[in-house]
Amino acid sequence: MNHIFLRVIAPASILIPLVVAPVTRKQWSPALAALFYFLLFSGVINIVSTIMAAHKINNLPLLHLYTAIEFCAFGSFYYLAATAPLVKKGIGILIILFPILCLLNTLFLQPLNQFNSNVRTLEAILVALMSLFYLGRPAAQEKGPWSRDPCNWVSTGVLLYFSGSLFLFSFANVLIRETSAAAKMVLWNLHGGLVIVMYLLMTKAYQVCKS
Amino acid sequence: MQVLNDHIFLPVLYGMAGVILLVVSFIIIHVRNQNILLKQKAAFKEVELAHQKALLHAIIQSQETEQRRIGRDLHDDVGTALSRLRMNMERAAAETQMDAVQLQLYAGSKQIIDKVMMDVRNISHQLSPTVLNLYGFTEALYDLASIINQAGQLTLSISNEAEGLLSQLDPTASLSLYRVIQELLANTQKHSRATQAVLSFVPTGSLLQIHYFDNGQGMPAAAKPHRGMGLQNIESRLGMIQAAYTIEPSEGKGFHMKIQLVPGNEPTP
Repeated sequence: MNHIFLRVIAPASILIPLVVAPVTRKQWSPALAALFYFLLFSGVINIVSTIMAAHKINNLPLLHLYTAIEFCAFGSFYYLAATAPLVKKGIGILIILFPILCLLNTLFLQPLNQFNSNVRTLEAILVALMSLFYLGRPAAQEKGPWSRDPCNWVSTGVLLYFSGSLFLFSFANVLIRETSAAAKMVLWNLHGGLVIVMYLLMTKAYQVCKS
Repeated sequence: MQVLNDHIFLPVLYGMAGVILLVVSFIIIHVRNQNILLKQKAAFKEVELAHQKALLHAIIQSQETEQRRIGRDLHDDVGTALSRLRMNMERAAAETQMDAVQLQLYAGSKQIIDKVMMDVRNISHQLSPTVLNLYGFTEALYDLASIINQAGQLTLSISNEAEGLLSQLDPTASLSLYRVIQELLANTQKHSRATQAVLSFVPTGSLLQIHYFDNGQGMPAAAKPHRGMGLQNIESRLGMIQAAYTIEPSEGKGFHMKIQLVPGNEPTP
């Protein structure tokens, strides 16, 4: 049952936003459009990694690539959603620097067959910070009720997922080495739950576009 | 099930749970604060709007007072002076033997004085509709129609099926509606090249519907029609008495405006 949740239900939950989002595609902002293409990419990565895991092939190399692209995708999302020029500039610089950091980490610190906890943790901190920046923007920039802004829903999901998974990412290598299979299962199931919540909140964001 | 006795497991689990709890709390507090702020903003806007309405009301009131004063002065002073001038001329004519040229000059002058007296009367009526104060809205409208029809350029016909509702209009609403109709007629005369205008009052329960049609060239069917001073005046006056209006797009088919209001529901000044 636990394996089904972790290997099937949690990755498959990406289908919810992918199915619901196109209904409101005419109302998408550029940020939501960028997010949708990233979700499509994530869906493909989920399928490939599930197939690799089923064939007992180490899928950690995919995570190294995924981390860099995921950061660039969320960076692009907040770059397009932000209005302050300074924030946009900062995010633009991070989008260029982060993939370089990922490459350096893979080459010199954590090779492809190891969990890339260094950059994954840094990514979690940076993306959580970007979502906090968005959620905490000045009240004067609010155009309507909180719940009517799709980016608020995306930011809530992103903040919940990345800050909730922060400890898991930073201790991932220690956990893989030192803990029992059951302990790992509990923690990664919790991570799976956070993934589902994030995708559900993203689905809500695309639904909010309609109104 | 294997026992979870790993050293690192529990701190990570607690850490994750703690952060999730913090984030959820932050989101709840943040959303609550945002909603409170939004409500405050809306309340502030409402107060500002009410203030603007009160200002507009005061401006229109003072404008009305001034118009009434000018109208009264025109009627009482200029009108009376012209009447006396006409009487003096008649007396002088009666006591003087005039040749044909002088008689022609006298008749022409009398005609000019009559025209000026008529113009002064019409202007003073427009500025200060005394009939409205004395006999009410419906009579004032028929008086206005007779002035318009006398001029000959436009024929205004009135169809009134809502006398009961019209009698419930308070003085401010009556005056506002009267001014709106005056403005509509002025627009028709100035811009539409219409020969006929129809004003109809239809009751729908407690709702009074006023339809104004003319057979002129109508409004251009642009996405956003140009709102000149006339239309702005109409909007302000109707807004003041909480009446809604719609202009039917009818380029080349005449102009049609529909006004709706509930008599007795107008805000008190």
